[in-house]
Amino acid sequence: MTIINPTGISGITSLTSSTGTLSFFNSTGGVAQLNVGAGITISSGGISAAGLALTVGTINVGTFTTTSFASAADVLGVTTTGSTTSASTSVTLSGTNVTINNGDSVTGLGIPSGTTVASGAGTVNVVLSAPVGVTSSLNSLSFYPNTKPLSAGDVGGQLCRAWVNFNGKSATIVPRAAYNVSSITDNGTGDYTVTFTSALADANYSAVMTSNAPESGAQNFGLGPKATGYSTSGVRLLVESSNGTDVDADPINVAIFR
Amino acid sequence: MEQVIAYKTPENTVSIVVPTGELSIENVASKDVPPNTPYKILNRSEVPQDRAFRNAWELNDTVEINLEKAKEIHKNNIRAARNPLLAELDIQFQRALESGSDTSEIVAKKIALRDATIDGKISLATTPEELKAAWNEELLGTSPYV
Repeated sequence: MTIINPTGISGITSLTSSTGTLSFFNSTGGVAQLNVGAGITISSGGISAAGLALTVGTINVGTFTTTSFASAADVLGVTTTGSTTSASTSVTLSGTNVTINNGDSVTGLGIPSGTTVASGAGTVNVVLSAPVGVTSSLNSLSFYPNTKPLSAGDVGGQLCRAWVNFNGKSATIVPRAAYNVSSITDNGTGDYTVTFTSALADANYSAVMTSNAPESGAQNFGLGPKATGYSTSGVRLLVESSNGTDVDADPINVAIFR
Repeated sequence: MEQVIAYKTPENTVSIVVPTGELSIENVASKDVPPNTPYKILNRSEVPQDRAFRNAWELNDTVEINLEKAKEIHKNNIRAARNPLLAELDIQFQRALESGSDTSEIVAKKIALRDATIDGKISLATTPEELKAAWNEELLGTSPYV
C-alpha cells in the first residue's frame, strides 16, 4: 500500500491509485473524513466507504451500461415443449435444440423462479439448475438468454397456469382461445369442465371466472366452480340463474392462478 | 375442431368433450374421458343443434333427445316461471279479501298457473318442437325457448 501524506497534497484536482484503494488516516490512526469538492471526477470503480463520512460535490460519472429486460423477441426460437418429471432436474425437449445455452434462464409450469440451464446446451436432454415441480409430457418452456434479466412479466406470466374463453351457448360449445387447456366438457345446461393440458401440481389454485349475463336482462346470476370441482387435471363450473336453474352462457372466461 | 367426443355419464346423461386444439382428439379422448368409459367420436353436426332440452340428451348410436326427460325439463321451466307470478297473485288475493273485492278472477289465474304443468299439449307432444310450442306465453310470459 502506498501511503500519501495529505499535508503535502494541497490543491489537488484528481487522485488515482493503481491498486484501486485509497485511504486517508487522521493523526490517531483512525479513518479520516474525505471531502470531495465540485469538479472532482470519480471515473470508475465506485467508492467503498464503510464507516466513512463522505461529502460529495458534483460527481461526474462515466457512462453506465444498462441491460434491458428480455423481450418476446429474445425468447423466439427457444420456446418449446418439454417432458418434465416432478423433483427431477432433467428435461427432454421436443424438436431440435440449437439455440439454448448453458446458463440461460428457464420459465415454465413448475419451474422455480431463478432456474437456469445447468448443462445440455445444444442437445434435447437439458439439465436444469433446480428440480421441476410438475410431471408433464407437454410442459411449455421458455429459454431466455443469460445476458438479459427477466422482467416480472416473464416470470409472472407463468402464474396464470391456464385460461380459456369459450361460448357455452352454441349447440356444441366453442372454445375461442385457450392456454394449457386441452378440452372443455359440456356436462349439461350451464355445467362445464375445463381440463388442463398439463396437470397442475395440486388443486389449491385460484379459479377466476367471468361471464356475460346468461339471460337477456338478467340482473343476478351465479358463476363459479362446483364445490367438488377442483382437481389437478381440471375444474368443473356451473352457471346458475337468479331463479336457481342452471343456464348456458356466453362468453365464459376461466383463468387459473397458482 | 370439427369433431367432439361423447360419453355416457353414470346418471345416463351425455357429456360432450370439445378439444381446444392443443392436443389431438385421440390424445384428448385418452386423457379427458373418465377411465374405463366407452366413448364415441362424432362430428359436430351429429350433436343436437338445439340446447333447449340439453339435460335430456342421451347417447345411443348418436346423441338423441329423450322426450320424457324433455317434458320434465319443460315442466320445471313452467314451475320456475310461475313461482313469481303466483307470489304476486297471492298478494292481490290478500288485498282483495281485505277490501272485500271479487277474488274470482285472481283465483282463476292461480288455478290456471297451477294446472300449467298438466296441459294436454305437453303429454301429447311427440317432438321437442311440439313441446316448445306448448308454452303458454299469455299465462307464463316470454318463452324460455326463444
